[in-house]
Amino acid sequence: MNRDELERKIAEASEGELAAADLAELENELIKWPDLKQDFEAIMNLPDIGRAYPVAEIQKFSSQIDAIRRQIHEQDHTKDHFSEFSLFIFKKYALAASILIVAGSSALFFSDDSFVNSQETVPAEELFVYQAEAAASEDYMVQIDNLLFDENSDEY
Amino acid sequence: MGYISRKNFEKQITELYPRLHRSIAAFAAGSDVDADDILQETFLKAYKKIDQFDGQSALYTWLYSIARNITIDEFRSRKRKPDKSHTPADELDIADNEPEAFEYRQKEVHNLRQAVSELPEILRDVVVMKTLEGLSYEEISEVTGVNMETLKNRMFRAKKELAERLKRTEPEDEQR
Repeated sequence: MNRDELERKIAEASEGELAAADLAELENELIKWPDLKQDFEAIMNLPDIGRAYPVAEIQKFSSQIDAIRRQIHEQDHTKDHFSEFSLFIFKKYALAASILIVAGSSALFFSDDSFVNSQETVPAEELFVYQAEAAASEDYMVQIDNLLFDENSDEY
Repeated sequence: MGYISRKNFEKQITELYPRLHRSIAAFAAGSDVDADDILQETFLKAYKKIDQFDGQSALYTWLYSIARNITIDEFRSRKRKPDKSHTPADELDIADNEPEAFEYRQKEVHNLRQAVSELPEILRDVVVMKTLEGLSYEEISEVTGVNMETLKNRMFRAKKELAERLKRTEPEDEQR
């Protein structure tokens, strides 16, 4: 066994994790390592470290434990409150938001240039059709007047 | 769904708190880091991340690793300066009715705690986890990410230092 291995064995022995046979083998080996043997004896004679730190009774920590529980509940409450609030906002404003979206997109659609350009324009000729027709009817009336005048010239 | 429900976790706080407090107080001894503050942060953090607990280690080990990391972060942020006068006697919980035995035990406990608090952090870490927590080297390896052989060597060095420090305090006590 080398030095590192022996140190590990000493650590195990001090934790009571070494079987009796292994402990005897270690003690035998340590004869060749006087400084380690000295360390081994000092370590094995250490007082129980665990006894220096007794676990305090639960009552001693009741206020700290209560504080943790309170914070956990506050955390949960904040989370629940946020979900409820989000749902309320969604319900209340979902309809208004939908209408706004429809109105907005319609406004965008109608203000689009392509829509204006797509409107049918009246050709110039058509604008004069009625005028032409009006002129023809006037001529027709004049003609009838003339005819009537000719036929009833005596009456005039 | 996590390995443990939030409700069940909350129930276990009462049982886990005192044990964790002892270990973190020992680990943080000699600094101005308060074990109660660390544990408060630990339990809240654990509660938020409870879904991440997969049950591969014990709940206690998982909590301890969170608490240990928070403590180490605190050490780093405060640039830990050892306070040799730490561990006041009134913090000691020694149940002994005989005054002489009480005094002797109080002194022994004080010296031992003082020696532990003066250990370098990496050595104190192993002592706390192994001796106070009763974790196996395998569990300590999971928490620290250090292999078991190195951990055992650190334990040897820690105990050797403790023995030397305690030996140095003996003559002081005899002089009093």
